[in-house]
This record gives sequence, structure tokens and C-alpha cells, in this order.
Amino acid sequence: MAFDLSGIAARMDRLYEFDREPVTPDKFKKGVLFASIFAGEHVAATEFVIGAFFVLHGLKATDLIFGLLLGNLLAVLSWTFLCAPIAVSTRLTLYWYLRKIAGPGVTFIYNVANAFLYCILAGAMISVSATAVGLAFGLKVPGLNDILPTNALWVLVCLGLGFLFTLLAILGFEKLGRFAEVASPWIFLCFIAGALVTLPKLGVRPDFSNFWEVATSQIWNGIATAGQQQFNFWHVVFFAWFCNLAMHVGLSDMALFRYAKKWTYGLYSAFGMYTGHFLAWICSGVMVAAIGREMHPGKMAFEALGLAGAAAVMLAGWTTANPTLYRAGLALQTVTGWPRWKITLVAGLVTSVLSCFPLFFMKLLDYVAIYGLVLMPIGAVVFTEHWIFPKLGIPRYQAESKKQVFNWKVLLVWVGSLLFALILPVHLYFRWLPGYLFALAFYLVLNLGSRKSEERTRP
Amino acid sequence: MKNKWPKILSIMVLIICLALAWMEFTGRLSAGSFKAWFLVMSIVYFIAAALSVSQKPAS
Repeated sequence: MAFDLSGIAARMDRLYEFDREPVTPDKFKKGVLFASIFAGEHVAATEFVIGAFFVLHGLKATDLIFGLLLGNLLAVLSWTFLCAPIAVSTRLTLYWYLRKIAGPGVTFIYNVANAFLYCILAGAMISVSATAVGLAFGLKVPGLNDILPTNALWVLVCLGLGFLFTLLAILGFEKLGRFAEVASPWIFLCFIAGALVTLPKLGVRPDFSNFWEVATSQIWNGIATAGQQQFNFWHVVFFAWFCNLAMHVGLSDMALFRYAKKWTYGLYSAFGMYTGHFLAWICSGVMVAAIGREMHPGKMAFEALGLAGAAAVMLAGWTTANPTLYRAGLALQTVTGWPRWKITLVAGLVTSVLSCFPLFFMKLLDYVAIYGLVLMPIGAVVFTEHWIFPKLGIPRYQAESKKQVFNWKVLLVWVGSLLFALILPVHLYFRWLPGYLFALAFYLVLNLGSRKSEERTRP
Repeated sequence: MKNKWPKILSIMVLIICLALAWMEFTGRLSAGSFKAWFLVMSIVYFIAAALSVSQKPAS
């Protein structure tokens, strides 16, 4: 091979060494901590964009509300019944558990894929912040269908912010992480306050007597903006469900739930879903309706809250991009072996360049779907190996026991289920579920032979 | 001993911010005054919350 895979694997192991051992009972955390982590994590810059896009996609108010209630419930149940039980049972991060199942080679590919996807997400967050900072310079934000940068000032603001965020990420993640802790309750308040003060502009009376009439005629009126696809109830259900697919079905939140006393702590995810992915999305929808349905998060918050609103969008972008850059740097560090600052700088530069392309920000909903879809098959593999293999007598952790670098079956399932999802003749949002079931079945079928061969070799 | 006042103050400021928004919604406060007071209260919040968080031991 052109590069030293065993060296990379050793570096990855060293990097994640601190969480190699299963979490011991003295390290278990209280439920309230899970509630606060979820509430903080899911009120971010993406919420300014997603809620607004639901208005642009012509949703009806009833479809939005009931769709979000159901979709978020499905997300909470996915954390509770898929992610948390495996985390509590193994007390390991996905990294270490996947290493046992798929081998260090696959975990390496997973890390690189994750880092690349993180960079794109962070780039979109920088673009969101740029819409707020650009207000000071009269910046013209690209249109909904723009793919390439439309003006030099947009590029300058995105690059400037990208460099600033990267510099801050290099200087100290710990302290900035604490700043995010401070900012998230205030950002959530900005959503609520921003929507509340926007309602009179849309004609809502102070006694709320005509709220529903305004909501159904001026906000979620069922008419899509030109060039935007018409969404319905099922689009909302699936979007709310897969919005954090990599975390729940994809199992990356095992890192969090391995500290839970019991699997039912997965239910605490409701604190993030019904604040960020319900209230905040509804609030940003209200705000975008008041600025003529223009996809301009900075402007919609500024019109509602003034300078504080613009600051909220900027900070929300930063607090989301910052840990994302950090995670991307961490994942890429294993490939290069470079010091953290150097790889974070490279990841930050790549991210800054990506942020100049409005494609990622203007197609955020589709990107979120693709992000979850790409990592979902790994969740299916781990689920099958953890729960179904023992029931069928198939030996677990073959990569570990056979000292394999690559478990080719896992790679085959990963690629195969993505191809299967790609050719499905359904909307992008609905592809992950059949893809997930296909991955479960495919991995199981590929391993049925191991059960037979084990039986044959048994004395 | 840990001082709880910054935390209490930060929570109170958030409640005041919400009250300001309600006053703007009901027409008892002009949009200009609301935006100015919201900005001032936000700054107070960040100072109080930063003080509160800085007292926590690093995890």
C-alpha cells in the first residue's frame, strides 16, 4: 500500500486512547446532564436555515406541526431504542466498538468520511454567519439556486470569518466549548423573542385571536417559493427523523450514552428535539415570512432583534462550526499524524473555501439528508452484529479475533447499501430507511456462512 | 464557596429579555427601544453567564 496503514491505525488508537476502556459505574452521569447537552446541541445555526426552508418549501401549518411532532418522536425513539441500549451495553464509543467489528482500516475510512462531511457542515455554518456579518457591509447574499459565489464581497466575508473561526478553534477548544455553553440558552431565547416580536408585523393581534389565520395564510400557507420543491407531511416527518441520523441510527452518540445509567436516558434527547427541532424551527419560519421569504438568516434576525439578532446568527454559526472544525481536525489527525494545530488549520482552510460556495448553505436540507445517509450503514452493521448475531449463533467481532485490518463484509455492506439507496426511485429523504433495512439484511446474509463454518469446525 | 449570584442573574436577565419581547409584542414598547434594551440585557447576560461558567471546575 502507498501509505502505512498500521502506522495510521496506531496513531488513531493513541488519539482515542483516553476512551479505550469501557466507562466504569463511578463515571456515570445524571439524567439532567443529558437533557442540558441535548438542549444545547440542537439549538444551532442550522435551525435558522431549516425552519425558514420549511416555509419556502410551501408546507401547510398542520403538516409542519404534526410532522415535526411525529418526526421528532421517531428521532427520540431511535436514540432510546437503537443508540442508548448498545452504548449502555458496551460502554464504548462507536470508534472502539466499530474497530472490533470492522477493523482499523474501516474505522480509518469512517473517520475520513466523517471529517469531510464535518468540513462541509462547518462551511455551511460559516456561510450562515456571513449573512449576519455582511449586513454591516451591505453584502448581497447569493440566491436560492446559486452554486458558485456570486460576488467578491461574499467570498471575502466567508474567508475572513472562516480564518477567524479556524484561529479560535486552534487557540483553545476547551474555553470556546464553555462559551458555547453560555451562548446556547441565549440563542434559544433569540429564536423565541425574534418570532414573538415578528408576529405583529405579520398582523397577529396581541390577544393571539387571529394567530392561526395568519399562520395558515402568511407563514405556512402551502405555497412553495419559485424553484423550491413542494413539501408535505411526510417530508417533514422524515426530515425531523433523519436530521441527526448519524448520531442516533448511525450510533455516533454512543460516545455520550456510554455515560448513561440506563438505556432509557435516550428519552432525554426529547429536550433537544422539542426545543431546537420544533420550537426553533417554527420561530425561524415566522421570522423568514416577515422578510418576504428571503433566505437570509442574518437579515431575518436583525429585522426582529436588531444588533443582538445579527450577533445571535453570528454566534450560532460560530458555536456550531467550532466543535465541528475540532472534530474534523481530530479525525484527520489520525491520517496525517500532524500536530492538532496544523491539521485544524488545514481543515479550517478547506472549510473556509467550501463556505464561499452557496451550494452547501442553500441546499442544507439535502446535505443533511446525504450526511446521514452516508454514515447510516455503519449503524446498521453495528446493530446487526450486537443484537442479531448472538441470537443466530454467528460469532461476533471477527475483525478483532482474526486480527483483520479490513472487514471486507462491512465495506461491501457500506458501499452496497449506499448504491441501493442511490438507485431507489424515491425522494432523497425517504431513501435512508430502505437503505438501512437493506444494510441489516445484507450484512446478516454475508455472515450466515460464518455460522455454518463455525458449526462445521466445532468438534 | 461557589457564588451562585452570576447564575441567578443570568437566568433573571433571560427572563427580562423575554418580558421585553412580550412588551414589544403587546405594543407597550417601541421596536427601537426593544432592540436597544434587548442588546443591553444580552451583554449583561453574557457577562453574568461567563462568570457563572468560569466558576465551574474544568471537566
